[in-house]
Amino acid sequence: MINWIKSKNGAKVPVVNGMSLCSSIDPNKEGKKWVDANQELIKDFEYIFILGIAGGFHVEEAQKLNPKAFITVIENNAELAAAFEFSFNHQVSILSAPTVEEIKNYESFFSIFEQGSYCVLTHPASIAQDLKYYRKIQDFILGRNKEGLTYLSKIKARQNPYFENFTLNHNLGGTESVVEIADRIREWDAEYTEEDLIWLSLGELVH
Amino acid sequence: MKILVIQLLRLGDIVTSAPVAKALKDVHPDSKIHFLINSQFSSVKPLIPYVDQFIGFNRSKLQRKIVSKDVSFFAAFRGFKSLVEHLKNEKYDLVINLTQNRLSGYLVGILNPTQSLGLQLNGKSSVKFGATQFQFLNWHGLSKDISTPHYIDIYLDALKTQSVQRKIILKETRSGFEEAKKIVQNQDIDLLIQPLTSDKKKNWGLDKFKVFIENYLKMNPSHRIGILGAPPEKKQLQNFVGDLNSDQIFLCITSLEGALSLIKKSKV
Repeated sequence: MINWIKSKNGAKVPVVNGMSLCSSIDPNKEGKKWVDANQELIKDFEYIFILGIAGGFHVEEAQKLNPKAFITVIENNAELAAAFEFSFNHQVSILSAPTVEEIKNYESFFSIFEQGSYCVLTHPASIAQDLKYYRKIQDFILGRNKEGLTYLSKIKARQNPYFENFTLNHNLGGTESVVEIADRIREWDAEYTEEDLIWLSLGELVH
Repeated sequence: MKILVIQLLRLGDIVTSAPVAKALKDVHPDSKIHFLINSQFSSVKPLIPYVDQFIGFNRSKLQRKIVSKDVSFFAAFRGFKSLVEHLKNEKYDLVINLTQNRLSGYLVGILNPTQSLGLQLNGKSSVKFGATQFQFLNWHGLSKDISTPHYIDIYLDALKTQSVQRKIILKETRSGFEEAKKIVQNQDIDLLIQPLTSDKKKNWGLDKFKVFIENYLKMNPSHRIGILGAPPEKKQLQNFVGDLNSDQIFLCITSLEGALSLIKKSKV
């Protein structure tokens, strides 16, 4: 059940489980601050996933900063997601509480996952509503858990057979994994493929 | 003929590579010469003659993509691959790697050109140098005991262009000229000093420069000394000039283009 309250600046703010998901004083300013904190990524990527719609202010601001970006908002609260169904232009889609299995079946994501260049940003108050769900979705989409990386590798293998045998026995997430991939490749006593050399180069950037 | 020169080191190294572009144009007058440099040093572009195109290697952006927990695991891979695809599409006839490190060696390995000079790494046991001079550089990097000719000499020798001009010639720009003019205001500069570098460990020390300048002015009381620096160094150098407390010393905070024009105006 969502209650809507009016913030001091007159904007409508959702309250879920007794918790306001946005500032009750100036949610627009709060949305801008969120965008400022994530501006490099918002500017850098054409495909952006945002976890949590809240009052939609941060999504609106993200669109202002990068109007060309295709934004997918994942919201676990179906009622809240429905409230924003017609609030944005065609560049923004809102998914209501998808499971990992459902995400795997969204055909529109295949090309995004295949090219691999995207980010996942989180709205703190929203993800606090169901941290476990949002973390699982985040790690899956980013390929930062085994299920996600296995799935993304399979998608990439449709275009490039190299990823069919992309091994997964390393810690995931952040710098270490790239370094570990590079180190593992370095142990091979063979001619490297182009993909091996790219991983090795990336390893050099963080070694 | 299309030639790619890979120079992924710092500003001074890019400047040191300028004679290579001239030498290549001398030997191959109709060639197109592209330089791959770190994007953070793109301000050097207007100063280097004979280069037809500069391509930026955005190291920090790639590093951010690798370490950021909000970015797809494959984003950095994709970013690097995009650069590779761009370079491959250029279909270079010759790739010259002036960067003696593994990153650039792997990059040449990926491009796998028909002709290359400098480090190329294709596999664990597949290392090419293209010329003994680059092999020498590799050994030199491992041993501090070997005295070595200047890098320019090594590069040009490897290109077999011993007779060309070894002096580093940089292009002065109109905006740099105007910037310098505004700073010096029709007065002479007898001595221009750049006391800070972007690499702190290479700094001699402002206290030592202070002693030097004070002694210099005792011997040359009428000389005007410019203290050169980049905009981020302004505050530190303002304090330094303030401490020296002399009308003969003035601050020259300027762009790289302005710095070149000031160097040209200065007697020393």
